[in-house]
Amino acid sequence: MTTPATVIEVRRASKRLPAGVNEVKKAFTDLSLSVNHGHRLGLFSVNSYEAQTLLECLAGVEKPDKGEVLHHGSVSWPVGTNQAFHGMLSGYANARFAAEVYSQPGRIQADLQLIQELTGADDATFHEPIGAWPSQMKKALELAVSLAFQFDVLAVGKMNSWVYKDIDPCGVRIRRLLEQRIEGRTLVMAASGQNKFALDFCDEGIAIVAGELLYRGDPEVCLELVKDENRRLKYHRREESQAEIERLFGQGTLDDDSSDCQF
Amino acid sequence: MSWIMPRRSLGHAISQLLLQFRIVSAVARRELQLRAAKGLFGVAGVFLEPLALICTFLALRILIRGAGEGTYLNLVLWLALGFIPFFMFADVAIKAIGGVQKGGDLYFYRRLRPLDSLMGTSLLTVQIFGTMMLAFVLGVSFWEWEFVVENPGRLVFLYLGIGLIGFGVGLTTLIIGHLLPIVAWVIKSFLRRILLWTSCIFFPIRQIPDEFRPFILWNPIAHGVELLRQSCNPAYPAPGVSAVYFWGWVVGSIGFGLFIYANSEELLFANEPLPGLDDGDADL
Repeated sequence: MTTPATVIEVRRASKRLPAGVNEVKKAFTDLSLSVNHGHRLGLFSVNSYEAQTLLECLAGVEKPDKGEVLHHGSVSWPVGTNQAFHGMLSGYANARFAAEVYSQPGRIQADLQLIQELTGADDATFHEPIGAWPSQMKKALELAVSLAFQFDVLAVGKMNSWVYKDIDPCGVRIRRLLEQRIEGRTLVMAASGQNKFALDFCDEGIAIVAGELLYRGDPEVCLELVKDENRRLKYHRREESQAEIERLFGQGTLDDDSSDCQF
Repeated sequence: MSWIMPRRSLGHAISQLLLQFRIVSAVARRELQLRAAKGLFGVAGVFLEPLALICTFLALRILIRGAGEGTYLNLVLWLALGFIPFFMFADVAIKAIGGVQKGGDLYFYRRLRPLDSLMGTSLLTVQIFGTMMLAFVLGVSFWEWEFVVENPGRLVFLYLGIGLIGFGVGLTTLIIGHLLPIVAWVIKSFLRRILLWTSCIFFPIRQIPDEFRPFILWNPIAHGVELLRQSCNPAYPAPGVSAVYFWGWVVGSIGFGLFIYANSEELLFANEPLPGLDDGDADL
């Protein structure tokens, strides 16, 4: 079976997220894009939730409020996360369930062995409920289960830094497996918070600014655009704070005591 | 080389079917593990809990009405063949009605559809009550020192048929109840209360007066229960009971359930509207 040229298509999709009581924030608005087979696309945004939400929509674990996301091939869930794990079940039972759903026929045992090795859990721990596991090992299990199976498109969310800093032997192994999994396939990665990691892996990027697709192309340019926007926002916020302080001082609403402070 | 394509598509269909079986049995196993982890007695508790319920009902029925129905079948077997299929049917249907919400986390794995999780949960329920049925059949067989089922194949198929009706009713109610929640509530109450008294669990159909019998015989579970008893002893009288009516219900409920599910699956994944905004078309 041949893999189609376009593996993910987004048609005029919009997504909002709840932000406090009766408040919403835009993740992206009226977005249309297509991801072709073999592309390695980084999602750059000022706020990490924008890239993460877009990634979740691209991976299909979230639905856009408007528009649609079409998959022409198998797409992984965001690597490094797993909402299907149950704390009362053992690592083995959680991994086994994922393997039953995604392993190739006859490969379940091999995949389970790989998952256990990548997790770094011994036999006894692997058969204990994951609710009692240390959080680092739980994260390792989430990563291992995400990388144990082959997908046409690998979606990579925010990962723990030990995975890509080449200091942890288990992390080195996971990074090698990640490289193996994306060989000749498609990668979509949320770059926010892991820019260097994204620049290492992605050959193309999109910059999302204020929920809009600002630029698509060189990931370095995307990163610069996002940084510029970040600086602009910071400057804008500083200006606003300054104006607010001046307004408060001007009205004399601050306590008189505060102006008497001796330095 | 045109013969290659059908063979390839047939191979693909078979592999998809095998994958479907694997996923459904994985959901059933996960559900069993979860119930075992939550209960006090582990896996044994999963079987003991419904067994205790059925034994209580059996004891109550025997205490209140005595051993009146022992002419054609052993009384315990006669009662078990009423209680077990009925509770299995109600459990399958009720779990299907609320199953999508309960198994929401599983849909993180996109290969898994709501139908798979509903089938997995139903499979586990059928297995649990099936094990109980087997225990009762074997227990009574040992007690009487002869195998008490004349037609075991028919018994198995009828039992599965009752499970399929439960699944079909649950699936249909799930979709309709998603649009009109009151329907789900009414059907749930109906399954537990009205059907309990009209499914020939406490009385054989032959004891119902002729003028009232048609009011009971609309219920396919009553047909299924009486046919189950007949499969243990072909001489068991079941006036008005029809296998054609029963299997018609099996095919109809499953067919209708799958039809509306196939046309409304996306409804079950619809996003909840965010607070503070009137509708999804609000300006983003």
